[in-house]
Amino acid sequence: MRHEDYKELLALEAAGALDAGERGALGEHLSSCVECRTELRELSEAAASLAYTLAPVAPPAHLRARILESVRAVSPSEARAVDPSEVAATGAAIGDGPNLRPAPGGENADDWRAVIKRFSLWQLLAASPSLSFGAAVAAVALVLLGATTLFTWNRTRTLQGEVARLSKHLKESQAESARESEQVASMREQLARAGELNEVLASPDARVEGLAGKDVAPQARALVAYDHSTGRTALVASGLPPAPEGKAYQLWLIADKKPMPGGTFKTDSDGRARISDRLPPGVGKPAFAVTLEREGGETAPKGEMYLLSNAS
Amino acid sequence: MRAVAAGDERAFASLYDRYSSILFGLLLRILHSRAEAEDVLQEVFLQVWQQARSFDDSRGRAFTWLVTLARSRAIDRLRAVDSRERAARRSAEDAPPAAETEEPADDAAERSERAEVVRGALAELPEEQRQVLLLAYLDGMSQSEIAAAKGQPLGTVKTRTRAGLKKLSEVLRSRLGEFAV
Repeated sequence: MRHEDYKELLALEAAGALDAGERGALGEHLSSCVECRTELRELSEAAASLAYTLAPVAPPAHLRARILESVRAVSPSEARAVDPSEVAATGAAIGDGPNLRPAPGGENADDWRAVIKRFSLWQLLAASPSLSFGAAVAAVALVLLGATTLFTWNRTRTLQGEVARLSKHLKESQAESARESEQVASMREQLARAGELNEVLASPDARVEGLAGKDVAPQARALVAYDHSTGRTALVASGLPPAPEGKAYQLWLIADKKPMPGGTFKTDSDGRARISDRLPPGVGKPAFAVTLEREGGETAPKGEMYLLSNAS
Repeated sequence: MRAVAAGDERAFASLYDRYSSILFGLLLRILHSRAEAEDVLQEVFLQVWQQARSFDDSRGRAFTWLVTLARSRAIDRLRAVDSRERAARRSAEDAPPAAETEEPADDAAERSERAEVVRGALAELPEEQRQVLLLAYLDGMSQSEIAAAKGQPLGTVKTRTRAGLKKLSEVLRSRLGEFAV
């Protein structure tokens, strides 16, 4: 699809009118197009303003009490364990709308199409879903690596299984149309790239942190998986400008505000990178950063910061 | 939103008091079921509480986020119910009680002012664009449902939805410089 074609989809997406196939394609495009993200934001704001024209209806008083009570029990921004009923609810959304056909093996509650269908793209851009919405969302986020503001979650065994299952599902699914097979191929490729990430995730001691781009590269994103028992680390990044001659990006593990040096890497022609590394183990609440340094790397960060984890 | 992210319950309660009536109205309109609307409202606010930290206000306004969240969840629920059941609910629905809203007076005035602005902007859209846009966004109808209901080709519905929203966005921006929500 040409850029113009993607632009045409933006208003429909903001109006909530895209089907999952189109939304998947647009999501991919958004991961590398700031112009479209900006326009999507403006259109989404206009759409949301329509809600002002409705007559407000006060919800029952007991609901207020119940809601306030229920949040007291939850620490804010805590990643919950996967709630199976929510994952099942996602599955129920498959199969509706004009261009959708039920996914092969229909009742797969974690079908990525159902997940994309469920969340508006703007929503994914503005606030990342946590693991509470199912491991499939994590897998979708891996795919839309540049489009989502990434997220932190405590890894559960389910995640590794889900990523593996998604990968298998993609391998087995028949492409139903040229456009879908393009998406499937692209997802397969990205999942393969995330293979090292997957291996690190195999450990029960792995944590995954999302990194967001700093001002110098606002479209950059990364996911870092860190196994605190072994220090094995995997990084998947996108949206980074190519490192100039003689320079490379370097990963840092930050513990108690002290940065510890990790490996250096360069991006491929797509602006993506993946590395596996060994960092010092034992850091309970790791934060991560990526800076641009000279090619051999440094022992302390000297260059410009490109990525920083949301948790810092 | 930052206060909410930091776990400030009062900030969260304020957010609830300020926006719950608008959101509830939207949910009722899409779901045609008080019970479901109550469930979804609770889910939405729980999600806000949990995700406030990751909400990036450079990416969009809090109001937009709330409305988008509420609408997505409502549509999700709606699609889980088959169309016959949905039609049955629509006809069985009691008129919602008049808003004995506990909205703080300041918020009510502000909301009403914004409603005027948005209605004024909507009035500048051609009739067909306005209609399909509202059906798609506020009623949660899919493009093909709208096409069937209005006896229009799907392509026409899409074109009108797209044009309608683009026009609305332009008019709002020109009327207000930046539409502060």
